[in-house]
Amino acid sequence: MPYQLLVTKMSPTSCNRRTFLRGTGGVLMSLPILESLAAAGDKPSDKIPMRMLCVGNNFGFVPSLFFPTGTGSDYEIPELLTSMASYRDQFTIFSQLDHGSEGVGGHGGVHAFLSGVLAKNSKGYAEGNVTFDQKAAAHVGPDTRYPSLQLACGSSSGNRLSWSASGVAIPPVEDPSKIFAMLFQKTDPANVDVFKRTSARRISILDLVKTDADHLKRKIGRSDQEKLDQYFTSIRELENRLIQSQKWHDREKPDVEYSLPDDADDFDFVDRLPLYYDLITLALQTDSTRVISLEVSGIGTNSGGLPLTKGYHQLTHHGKVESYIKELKLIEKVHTSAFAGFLEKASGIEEANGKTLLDNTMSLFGSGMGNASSHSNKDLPLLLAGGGFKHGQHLRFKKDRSAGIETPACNLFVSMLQRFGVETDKFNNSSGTLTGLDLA
Amino acid sequence: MRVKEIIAVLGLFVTAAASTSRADVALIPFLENYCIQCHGAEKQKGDRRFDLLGTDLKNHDDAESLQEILDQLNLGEMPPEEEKQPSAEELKTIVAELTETLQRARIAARENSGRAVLRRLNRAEYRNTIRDLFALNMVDFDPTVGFPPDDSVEGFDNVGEGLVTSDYLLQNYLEAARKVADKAIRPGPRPEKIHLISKGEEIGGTMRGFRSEVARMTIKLRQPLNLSQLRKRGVPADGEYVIRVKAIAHQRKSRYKDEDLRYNSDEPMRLSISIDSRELGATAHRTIGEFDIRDDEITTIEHRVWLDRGFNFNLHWANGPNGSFKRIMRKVLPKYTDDAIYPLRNPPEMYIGSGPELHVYELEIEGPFYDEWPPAGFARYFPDPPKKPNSEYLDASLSRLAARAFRRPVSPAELQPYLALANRHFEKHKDFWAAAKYGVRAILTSPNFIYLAEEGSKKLARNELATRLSYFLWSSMPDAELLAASLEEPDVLRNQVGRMLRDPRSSAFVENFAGQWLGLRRLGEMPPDPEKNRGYYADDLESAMREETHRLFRHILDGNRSILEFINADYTFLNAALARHYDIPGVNSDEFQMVTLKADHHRGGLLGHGSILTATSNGIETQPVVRGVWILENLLGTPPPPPPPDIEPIEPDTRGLNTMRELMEKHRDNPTCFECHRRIDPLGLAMENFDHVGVWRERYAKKSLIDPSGKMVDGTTIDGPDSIRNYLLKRTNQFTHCLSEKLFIYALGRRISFTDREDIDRIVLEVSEQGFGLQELIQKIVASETFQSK
Amino acid sequence: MRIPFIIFIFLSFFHSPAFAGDDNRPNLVLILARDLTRGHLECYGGNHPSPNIDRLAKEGVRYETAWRMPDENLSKKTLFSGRYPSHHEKAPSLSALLEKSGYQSGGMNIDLEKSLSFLAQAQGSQPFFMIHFVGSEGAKVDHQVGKLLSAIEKNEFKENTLVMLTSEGGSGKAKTDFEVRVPFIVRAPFLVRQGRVSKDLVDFTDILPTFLSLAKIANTDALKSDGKSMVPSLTGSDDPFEKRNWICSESGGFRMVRDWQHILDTEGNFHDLRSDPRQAKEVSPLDKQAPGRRTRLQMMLDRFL
Repeated sequence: MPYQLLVTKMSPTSCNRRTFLRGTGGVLMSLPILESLAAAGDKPSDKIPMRMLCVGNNFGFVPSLFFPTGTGSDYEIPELLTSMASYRDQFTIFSQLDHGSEGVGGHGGVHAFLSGVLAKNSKGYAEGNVTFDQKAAAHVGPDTRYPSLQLACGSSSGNRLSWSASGVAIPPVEDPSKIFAMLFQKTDPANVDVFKRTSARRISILDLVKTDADHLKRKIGRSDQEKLDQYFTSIRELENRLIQSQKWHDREKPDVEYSLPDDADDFDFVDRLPLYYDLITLALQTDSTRVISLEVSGIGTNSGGLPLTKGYHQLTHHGKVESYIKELKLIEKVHTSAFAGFLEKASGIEEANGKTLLDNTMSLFGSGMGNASSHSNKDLPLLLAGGGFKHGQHLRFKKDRSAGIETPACNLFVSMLQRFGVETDKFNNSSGTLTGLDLA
Repeated sequence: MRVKEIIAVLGLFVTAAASTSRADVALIPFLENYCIQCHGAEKQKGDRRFDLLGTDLKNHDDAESLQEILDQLNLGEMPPEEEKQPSAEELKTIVAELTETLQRARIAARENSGRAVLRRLNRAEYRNTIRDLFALNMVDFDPTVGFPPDDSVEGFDNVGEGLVTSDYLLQNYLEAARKVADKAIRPGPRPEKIHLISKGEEIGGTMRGFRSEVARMTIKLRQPLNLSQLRKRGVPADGEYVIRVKAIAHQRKSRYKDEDLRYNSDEPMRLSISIDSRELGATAHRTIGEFDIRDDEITTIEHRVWLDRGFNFNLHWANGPNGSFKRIMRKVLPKYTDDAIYPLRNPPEMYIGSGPELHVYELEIEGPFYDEWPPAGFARYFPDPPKKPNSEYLDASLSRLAARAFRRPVSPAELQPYLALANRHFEKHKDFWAAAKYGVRAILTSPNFIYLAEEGSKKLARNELATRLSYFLWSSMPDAELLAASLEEPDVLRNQVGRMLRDPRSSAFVENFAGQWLGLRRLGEMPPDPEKNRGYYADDLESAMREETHRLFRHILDGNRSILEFINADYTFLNAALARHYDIPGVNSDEFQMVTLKADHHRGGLLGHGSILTATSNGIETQPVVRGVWILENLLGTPPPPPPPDIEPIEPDTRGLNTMRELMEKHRDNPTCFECHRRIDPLGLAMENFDHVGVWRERYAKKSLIDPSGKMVDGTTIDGPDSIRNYLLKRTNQFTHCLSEKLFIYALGRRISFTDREDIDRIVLEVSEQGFGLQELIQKIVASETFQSK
Repeated sequence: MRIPFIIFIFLSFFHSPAFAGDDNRPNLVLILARDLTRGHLECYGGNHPSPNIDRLAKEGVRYETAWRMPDENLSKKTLFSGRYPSHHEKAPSLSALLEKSGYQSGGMNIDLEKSLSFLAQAQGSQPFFMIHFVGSEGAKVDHQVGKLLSAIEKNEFKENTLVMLTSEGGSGKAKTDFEVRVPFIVRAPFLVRQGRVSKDLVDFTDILPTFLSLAKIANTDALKSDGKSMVPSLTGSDDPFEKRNWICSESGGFRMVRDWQHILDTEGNFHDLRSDPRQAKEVSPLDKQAPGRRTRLQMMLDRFL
């Protein structure tokens, strides 16, 4: 690959920088470059924030190739995860966790992955179908340039990963070049003023129409008012965003020496996916955001650069036919090995608290689809790496539906939220924290 | 027993208005005898459970269930054939009871509640409304480009429930409003005209340098010629431009065989003119016309076209040799001369001039021309701007705009904040037009613009009715005539509906209603594999197929023809490419024409339309389940429930199976699946003779013969599409009901409630008695109380 | 040496007019300069004034890509036989063929006065042909061309007279395109109305077929030429099949061929003349067109074997 992953802005006081990653031809040198407002005044070593990454795909993984047969710490690494084998003490595989009947809907159930609730059932829940990454993002507040980032490799508007508190799917950024520009492209000082003026004007317009909406609200019926509340919420959320971004207008974006290939956006799936993890690593490392979700949808044109004879979706309906599974495996291995690439990078970056970036980042990998061949949203593939938990095991949870024994996947989310610092003991249909997942 | 409670509650409802019906008591034993065995505590087939119907009929859910039970009984679908059947007498009693009970519950429910109808404009409506508000040419201007897609509810993206508003959308509204204000507010003098001519060698393009007096095209579509003077910047201002082209068809017949060049020398050469913008990139590319070019004598084309600033135009040879020029150099030329080498690249000079070519001598553009200046959509709000416009003029202008944008009279108090905002800006920056644009932006971000709000009483006010009507038939705001019409007078209303359907704006109805009813929008979501379906892309069959269905809908609509023609029309609309695809001879033009169908074409009605057959396939193979569900949902109005959530799906094992039928039978081994699939599968399998792009076939690719036979739940045997047509024609009432419901959902922008049933049932009956005319159906919907009420 | 040789051929044929009565075939005048290069002429971008030749070019077709043979003798042999040097054999020569078909011969003159006096006495009823040789000095050539043109025009022969001007080269053996690419101008008002620059490929083998074609002499097998009549090129035909797609220059065992862009010789030198007119650079291995062009030119070289 013709690109380099290289971060060179170095603090002069630092002496323990290290070089690592000799993966795809790039070298990434790392030092913590925290640009957060919170950290600005403090000594960086005092406050290394916890981060969160959630990766979800649309079609899940072939269960027999994803879940180990044995449990505990000496399980045999399953076929799809072989690329991650050398990091097995850094992650945990969970099996027999799902969202119960709340997440069922075949392809239409995938979007409940991080919320545990289908959008259409959101009314029955106090928090609607907000996804837990967004709860975490709300907790970060304005401390980072972006409260959270939603990224997507490939596009599938019907299967969004992150949903806002108002129950709306958050459109992700798809092109690597755009992600890079958001994170690292310097703004022309002349444009800073334009940006500021524009957002000030927009805020004035929002203030105005809010007043007007108040008038309107008085004139319409009660059920209409509920609908209009969405408008108010939207105004509030947008205003907050504009105000937050105003704060950051004057602050330069961090320097990274990483260049994206010019035609990165047009790379085939197999070459493009690793770029997202590069950018994610850099975004976390520079503390541009602390919450990222990455949606890995279709594989795009050219069969994603893989020798396939059938479409991805068609392959997932393999009906156990060997030739289908063989091709499907090629695609699914791209997913897992790209994530393995992230583990490699993140575990090689030491941060000021003496831990690695991976230790400081809860990295969830999985899908809202349990078994695409049968359209099942049960027994979701779930894997958690990093975040300072005790890893290296395969946790299989008891499940006996007739006896009413099952463990909600939301319990995992509660554990993660708590670890992130959110004071909560409940998330949607959770029944507690996840037993067996302990801090290291 | 919970059912008793329901009946009790229903009874309570009813007793509010009348005494308890004697027949109420009949329902409980009926359900116990015939329904609860499968839809009770133990089993919930089809995801239906009737022993636990809730108690709050105000939520309508339970009443909806009863309505469904009634519908199933009326249709004779339940109880299923093999189960215990009620006697005719029992059935009659229970149907009468349910009908009456529901009727009374409806009256009670309607009196008790108004319905939520507040909804925002969807993307198409926003765009059309901007178009009509400012009389903008929107062909190449789309301020909604970045809007998140609108969700569909009940298959339509104009249902309020699905039209959520988010901060992302709001941000897009702000951005769109800025773009629109810049586009629409055009003070100042008429933009200066340009007149540019490129001749011969000066013409920009890839095939220059081969004889200076002409620019030439040697292959189909890939060698754009353009006005080099416009290349960098495009035209300087929005407006109408005249494009002139002088071209000659050179050597249409040449020494080369058509099959070598992949070209049809029998057709006159056709030049296509397309436009694009460097700034907007490929998405802005659009063909604006195709012209026949005469052989060996200069054909002069003059074409008037609207161009947005920054656009340029390109010429292509629309029907030139297919494939690359390189291919001709490498593979074709060596067949005709010993001096060329095979299969490497020979010098183009050896070919240029020897084969068919489309020569362009001169390109010219002149414009912009305006019928009026200032533009109407600007002058409407900012008439005769004074040299130094002042605050009063600003107030008056923005007030005019707000009244149109909010689709109703606006009080000064309401307006005040908007005027204040603009005036503050004016005072501070002393730039009148910047302030005006700022005010326009605020108005276009207002909830009064974005939401279709209906206030006050239950019966719609005149302007509210006009608005509902125009968003129904035009997907846009009402025009002045509609707002002024006395719509409360039935004749006036009727005439307005007629006028609106004749107006070109009604194409939005065809596209948005028919497009969503029939799922045409899904066309292109899972497109055929480009490698294996070259013709599909070369001939742009996707557009042609969509056009065929749109034309059928338009034809039935315009002629107030029977909606049953959707099922069994013996005609359709084809262009040459689609006719070839269907293997129907006699259509040679690229223009669509009406074609009479014969029985052996298998094509009559929607079921033979490539659009639907392709949209219900996954690009590689047919999906009989999807086709079956499509028929149940869109023609019969009885969509099967999704697979029940609490059933663990069984992973299919298809090793060793060959045909689609075997695959599906495997699926049906599972009794949970069987329940619904016995309704779905026979319909889908009967369509198997149409392949994944709608081509008729007798055998699968693996050569096994297709068996389209099957048996419906009611015992009807079916065997291919014609038998489905007959099956549907025996259920005209059901089909009419289905279409009427879809029209109602689309017209109201909300789900149908059981309280609407009375109007729907009546309209279905009337329309059936009056020849099933589509326009008549629409008239009756518009005239109904349901349509005219909140 | 050279003149006796030509005269020998010339005398060995009968004078037998094929066209009796009113013969309106065009007159043919070839002006062959010794070692005149493109750099001598203003119309070819040279820096010496050449008003008369420029006028000829303006009224006729000026060829950009015309090749002579590597030296003057080979050029002349090729011109008269219509064949490349390795194909030269005893064959009827151009002059003999024309005379046999009824052309009045103006001879082959070095002396300007001789040529002028022939033109002064020529009869309109019988077409004539004439070859005029002139030295290499640019100003002198232009001066003589001026005189000849005046004489033609004075006698009202202009309309029906083809005037071809080119150069046969010098004594050295040329081995590159820029050496053998010579000025080549044809004025034929009966074929070409407007002046024009042509990028068509022509070489000295094409002269004989051109003259024979205009003299309506069938180019039979016995007269087989390696070249092609330039008449389609002169009339502006678009069809490449009627024109040359390669040209050659040959001396002894050395041959070179070119097309519109590339040149290849028997010593294996291959160049892209568009980017490398001085033939100094290797063609880039990344050039996707070059392999095809080279293979084709090699095929042409091999055809001589």
